[in-house]
Amino acid sequence: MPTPTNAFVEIAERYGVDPSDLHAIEKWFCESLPLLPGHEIEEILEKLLSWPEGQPATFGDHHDDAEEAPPLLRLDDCPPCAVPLLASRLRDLPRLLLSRLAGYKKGKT
Amino acid sequence: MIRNMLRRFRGVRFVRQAPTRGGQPAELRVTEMTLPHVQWWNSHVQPVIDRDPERPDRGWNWLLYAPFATLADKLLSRQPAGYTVGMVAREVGGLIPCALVQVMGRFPGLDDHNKTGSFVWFLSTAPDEALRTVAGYPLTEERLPKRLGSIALDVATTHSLNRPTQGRLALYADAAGGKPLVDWYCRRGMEVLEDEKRLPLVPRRLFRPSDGRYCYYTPTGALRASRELDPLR
Repeated sequence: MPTPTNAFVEIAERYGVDPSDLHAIEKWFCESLPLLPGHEIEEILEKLLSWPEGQPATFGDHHDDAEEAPPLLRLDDCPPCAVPLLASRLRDLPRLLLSRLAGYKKGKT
Repeated sequence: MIRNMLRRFRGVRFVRQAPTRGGQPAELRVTEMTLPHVQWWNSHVQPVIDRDPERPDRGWNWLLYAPFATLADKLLSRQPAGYTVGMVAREVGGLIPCALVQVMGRFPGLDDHNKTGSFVWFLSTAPDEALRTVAGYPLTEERLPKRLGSIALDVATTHSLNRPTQGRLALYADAAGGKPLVDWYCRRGMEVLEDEKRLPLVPRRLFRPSDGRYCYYTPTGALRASRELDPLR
């Protein structure tokens, strides 16, 4: 569970991002990281997952009161999560089996 | 056994309400975590958490975690998923995030390395103070949702139950939470991986070997824990 924030900071720093600028780090993770090759992203993820324990980085004015606070989230923009991938797959199972069977018979004739 | 099979067939709903001190249940909604949720969390909730030296999630930055996980979801095989547990504020047509959960949907099982489970990467709940001071929708003590920790853990469990991982779920109890945090997970029915036991073949095995803080649900344990929250679904 605990990947300390300084893990993200250090990784971004390796890619030339100013470690004292949290906004630049967030931006790098949001915008620049997706442009890296897949294997490099995987490597970074593994590093974050296995980062040793450490004190979380402190950014002082990280939560800047002067910044405009985002408004309350609109309920309409937050649809409830659809239930069960697995269950929906299982519900489809008879239909899937029938279609496979039909395909098999068709192929045989 | 049949009951368990039926449960898996039907799928498990996410929790839809939380108890409150006042007795009137609070309506909850579990939704996919998006950037606005995280921005709201970072400006309204995280500052309150950061002021509490006892909180293991002090200093976390969801603005870094969430977008990265979404990206990893598309590119990697770990299948991360993020959930926001929000309290529905119908009077103002809003949703107040009460908990955030980040899960790795595909991770080797701790109890059986040949099986696939899910792994809770981050889990955080809003302190009461943060919910009492929401601009435009301050909650009174009587309306504060309770059991948010159990509900957030249940979201991760439900995620795993509804997938081929069948409820197998693991997490690492942050060392900052000390023994009370491990005990809390145990009270939720999780088992603790003994400190001499080896982790599956993942980088964690090398960097963060088992130290008695890895907790996990077996599929049976997950079903048992899930049933406990059925009245809230």
